[in-house]
Amino acid sequence: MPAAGAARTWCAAALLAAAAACAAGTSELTGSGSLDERIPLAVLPFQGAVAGVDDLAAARSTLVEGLRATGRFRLLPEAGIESSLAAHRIRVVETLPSEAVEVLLADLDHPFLLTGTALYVDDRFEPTAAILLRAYDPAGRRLGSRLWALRAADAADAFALGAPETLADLWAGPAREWVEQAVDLIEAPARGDRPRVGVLPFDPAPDHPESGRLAALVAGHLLEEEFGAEVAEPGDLLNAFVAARVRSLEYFGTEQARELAGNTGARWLLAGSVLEIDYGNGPGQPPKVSLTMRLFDAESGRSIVSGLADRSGDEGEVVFGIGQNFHPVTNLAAALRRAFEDMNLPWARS
Amino acid sequence: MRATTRRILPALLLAGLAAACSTPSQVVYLHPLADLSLIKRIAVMPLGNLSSNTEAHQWVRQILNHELLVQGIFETVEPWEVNRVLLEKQIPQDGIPSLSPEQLAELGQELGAQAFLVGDVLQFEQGRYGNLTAPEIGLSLRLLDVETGIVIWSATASKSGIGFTERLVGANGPDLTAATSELVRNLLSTLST
Repeated sequence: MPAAGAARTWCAAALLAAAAACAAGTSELTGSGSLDERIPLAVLPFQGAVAGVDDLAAARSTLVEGLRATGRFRLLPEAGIESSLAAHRIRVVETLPSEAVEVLLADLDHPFLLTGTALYVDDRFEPTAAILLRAYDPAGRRLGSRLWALRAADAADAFALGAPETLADLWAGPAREWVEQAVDLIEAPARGDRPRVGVLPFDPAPDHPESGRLAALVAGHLLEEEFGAEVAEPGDLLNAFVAARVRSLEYFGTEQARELAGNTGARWLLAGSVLEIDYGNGPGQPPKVSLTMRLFDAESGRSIVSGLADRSGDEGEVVFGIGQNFHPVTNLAAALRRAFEDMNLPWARS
Repeated sequence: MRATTRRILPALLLAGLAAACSTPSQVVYLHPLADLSLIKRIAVMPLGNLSSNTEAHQWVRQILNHELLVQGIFETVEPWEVNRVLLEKQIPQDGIPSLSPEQLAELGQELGAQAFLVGDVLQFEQGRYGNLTAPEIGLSLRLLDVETGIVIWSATASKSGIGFTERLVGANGPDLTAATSELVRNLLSTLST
C-alpha cells in the first residue's frame, strides 16, 4: 500500500514541521483556523520631509525587530508590503487618504498598520531625529500617533558617555522605549466620538519651506493626543482641496472652507503660519520658533479662536541651564502646546 | 553739600540708565468726530513694508489679526477672504492707499467691513547692543472709514533698545514676535478706550 504509506509519512512530516515551527515561535499559519494568535501588523516604509536619508530604513528595521521580539505581533514581510504599495501606486505614505488605507488593508488581509514619517533628521552637529508614528486598526480607523524625538545628547548617560555618533546608533540606542510607544499605540483602546478637525498646511517660514508641513503634522498630533480631537486624514484633506478647487490657502474662501469640511467630515479647520523657525545648532544656539494659529468654524468660515506662541529652547523656565531643550521638534511641539492652551479650544471648554 | 551729592548721584545714575534703556514710544490720533463704537467689523489689509526684513509685513499682519481676535474690539474679515477679494478685483497688495473713495466703498461692501486697517512696517529687526540683542520695531497703522476714506484713527509706535532688567542681568531682549505682539496690543488698546 504505497499510497497509504506516503500519506502517513506526509502527515508525520507536517506535524513535525508544525511542532518545530511552534517551538521556534515563528508560526506563520494564517487564514481560517489560524493557530497564530499574534496581532498581524504591517509596518510601512518610513518616509519623510528629509530626502535621501538612508537611515530611515534602519529606523524602520530597528522598530520591526523590536516589535517582533515582543512576541505579540506577526510582522508582515517587507517585500509583500512593498509590492502592495506598488500595485496600488502608493508612493507617499505620509498623506494616505482613507480610501488608500482601506485598499491597502484589504490587500494585506486586514492587519494593523503602522506608518512612520520622519519630521526631522539631521546629523550635521550631532544625530538628531523625530519620527511621527501613526497606527490604524484593521478596519482603517486611526488609533492615534506618537512623536518619537531623539537627540544624541539625550540618549547619553548621566556622565555624557555613550552618546550615539551616527543616526543608526541613535535609532538603536533607546529602541526599547520606542517599541513600547508603538505597542501602546497599537493596543490602545478605541476612542469615543471626538470633534473632528481638519489641519490645513501651515504657511511656512520664508526660508524654511518644509516648516509649514512640519508644524501642521505636529499640531495634528497634539490635537489628537493631548487636546481631545480627531484629526482628519491629511490625505483626505488634500483630496478635498482638489475637489473644492483650492489652489492656494492664501486665497481661500468661506465657500471652499464649507466644501472642504463637508468632504472630510471636519467640524473645525485649523490654519496657521510659521513666522520664524531656527532648528538650532547645539548648546549656545538653541532652537527657536514663532507661529500663529487660528481655529475656524467650518460652517461659517469664521475664526473662533487664535493663538500665538514663540519659544526658544533656553526660555525662562530653565534654571541655570537645566531643562534646556535643544530638540527642534520638541521645542516646536512645546510652542504649539502653549498656543493651544491659550486658545481654550471650544470642545475643551467646560 | 556731601549729603546732597550722595542723594543726587544715584538719582542721576538711574536717570542715565533709564535713558539708555528700552525706549517704547507711541503717538495716537483719533478723529474728533469719530465714534468707534459704531464700527463692528473691519478688514486688515496687506501692510506696506519699509523695513529691511522682506517678510515683516506678513509677520505683523498675522500678529495684528491674532491680537484683534483676542482683544475682540472688532470682528475681523478673514485674511484669506481679503486676499481673495483683492485678487478678484485686481487690486495690488499695496494698492489700498491709492484707491478712490468710491472704490473703497465698493471694496468695503464686498467684504462686509465698515473700516479698513492699513499701515506700514517701518522697522523690524534684531538690533545689537554690545553682546546683547533686542528687537527694533516701528509700526504705523491707520483705520480708514470705507464710506468716506477718512482716517478715523492713526497710531505710530516704535520699540527699540534693551530693557533695564535685561541690561542689568546681561540677558537678551524679547524675541521679535513677543515684542511685536506687545507693541500691537498696546496700539490696539487705544482703540477700545
